[in-house]
Amino acid sequence: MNNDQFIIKAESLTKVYKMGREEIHAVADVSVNIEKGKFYSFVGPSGSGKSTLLNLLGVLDSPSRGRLTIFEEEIYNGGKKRNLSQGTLTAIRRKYFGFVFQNFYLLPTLTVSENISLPLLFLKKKTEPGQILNVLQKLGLEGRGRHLPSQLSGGEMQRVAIGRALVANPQIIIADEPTGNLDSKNAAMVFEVFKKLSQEGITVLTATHDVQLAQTCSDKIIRLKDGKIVEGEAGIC
Amino acid sequence: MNFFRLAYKNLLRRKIRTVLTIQGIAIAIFVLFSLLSFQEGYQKSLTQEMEEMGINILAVPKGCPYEAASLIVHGGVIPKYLDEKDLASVSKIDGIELATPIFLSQIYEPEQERTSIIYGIKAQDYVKLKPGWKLNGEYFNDNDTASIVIGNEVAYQEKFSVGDEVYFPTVGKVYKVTGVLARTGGQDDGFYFLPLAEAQRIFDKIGKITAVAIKIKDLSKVGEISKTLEEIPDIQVVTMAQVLGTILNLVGSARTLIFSVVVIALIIGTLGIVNTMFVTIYERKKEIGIFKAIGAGNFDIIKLIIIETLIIAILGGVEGSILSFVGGRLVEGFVRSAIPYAPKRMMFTFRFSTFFIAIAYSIIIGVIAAIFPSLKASSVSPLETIRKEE
Repeated sequence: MNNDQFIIKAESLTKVYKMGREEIHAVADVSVNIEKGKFYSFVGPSGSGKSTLLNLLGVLDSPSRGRLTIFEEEIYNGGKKRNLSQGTLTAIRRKYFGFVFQNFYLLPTLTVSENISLPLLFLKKKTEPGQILNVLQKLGLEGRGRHLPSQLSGGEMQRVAIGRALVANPQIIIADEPTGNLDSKNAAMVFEVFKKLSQEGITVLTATHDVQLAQTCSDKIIRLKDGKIVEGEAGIC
Repeated sequence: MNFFRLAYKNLLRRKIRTVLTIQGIAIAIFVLFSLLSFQEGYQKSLTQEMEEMGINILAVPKGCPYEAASLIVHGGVIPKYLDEKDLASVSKIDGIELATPIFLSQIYEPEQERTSIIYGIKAQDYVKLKPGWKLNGEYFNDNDTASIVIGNEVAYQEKFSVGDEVYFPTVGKVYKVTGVLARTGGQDDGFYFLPLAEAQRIFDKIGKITAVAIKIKDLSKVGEISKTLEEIPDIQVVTMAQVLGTILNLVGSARTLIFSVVVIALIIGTLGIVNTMFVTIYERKKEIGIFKAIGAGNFDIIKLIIIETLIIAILGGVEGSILSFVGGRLVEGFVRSAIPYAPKRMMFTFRFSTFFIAIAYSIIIGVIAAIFPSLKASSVSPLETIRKEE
């Protein structure tokens, strides 16, 4: 496979937490390349390192060792950590990523439209006419723009959260256990949305317990155990 | 969506807490606004009242001149007297346009629980010191023993008009009201005016006077004339400017004390906001982490917290100012009962400049209160708050 197709290249990423004298390798020597426009699911039991790996790939956290490149921009240089400031990491996240969380984290006093438009406020981007409506339509939420989160179902709230992640046109969506608080029907709906997004060229990375769901929708499945890749992406794809 | 809207909606999430925090600032600003309004109004009213007196100098018995003069102006009785012969000595002095005697006393009627303030005057002379007086009826002559002129407030309260009779049980005398003064807005509205000789007689103080009211030809010579007057034995001189100054000094001291209270109230109000914001930030740590994850920078978080704090502070300032404006009459009633030498005119002056000063203080409080909480909020890492719930 052509190296240029990979938008994220992670080499020997390791994250070590020190608990007193003990060292816990949350992620141990993981190498993975992410292809543009694909839907990846990272699966594994609790404590396998899925979330930690996603946090590293999404530049929410910095590795103890390893190398990370995003769109050919070197973020962490193996062995020598580039001491990127929080401001720089924030700028990188703003440039490439949208995030979806397990608990939605919608603001209860903002309407659906206002919640979706929040990233534009922080990115200092003007809301184009029809922009929010487009997002609502894409996610099957037209007519819900003025509703409050309390008036939505779990699945609808998660779609609003996805809309918030999408509104600034990111190239990569990172979703950590996005279906953790949803029933199976809504979970499947959310994964269908991710599938559609990846078909539109957005790269989607999710962490999930639900292997069956991952197998139904994802382009690639990467299994982790004890911080290491055990299947699917044993090496560089 | 803008920062102001986001901040405002965040505050709506804890309505009661927000409202209570606003009250803390509102109370402090209410006191500040009231004090500033009172200070200006009091000084203005008092100065106006003094100027309308028409009297430039009061010659009073030796003792406590400033207090005596103030009491005389406001109808209080002093226990010392001058002799009428002192009047002749005063009138001789060069530069004096008019010197007229005043006798002041009170009649207390226990059954009605009423104190009537009696001013004994030589009407034809005294009126020259009161260019603002307008009389419905006519003045009495100096040797009249049966006539009385009353102030407008007295006429209103006691329902007297020209031709009515006023009976003082304590002195066992009836007087016919020959004139009622039009409203002056000053202390004169509350007095009864009798011919000097008659007042001296009913209080058994024949030949005694409380003070000599003096009008001089040239105000620039007030110092020189005062010096000459003080050479007369038993006389002490008080200029109206001195009286005004003394009263304002007294009130100024009280004002300093009240300002100290206001400062403490403002500090407490500020600490209240700081506490509320710290608690809010602690509760919203996850949310702030999410904001950072979805693109907010440190400055965005600082800006958001500052705006939230400013909204609380400014709303508190506006509420406090409105409360002061609406409750001004009530506060004035309380202040009038509490302070000496309160002028009759309204003491509270409401100006937009005072309102803007109050709002400016609110903004300053808001900014100060926001500094630490906003810095604390901006230090929240997106990662430490993103924890899956297992």
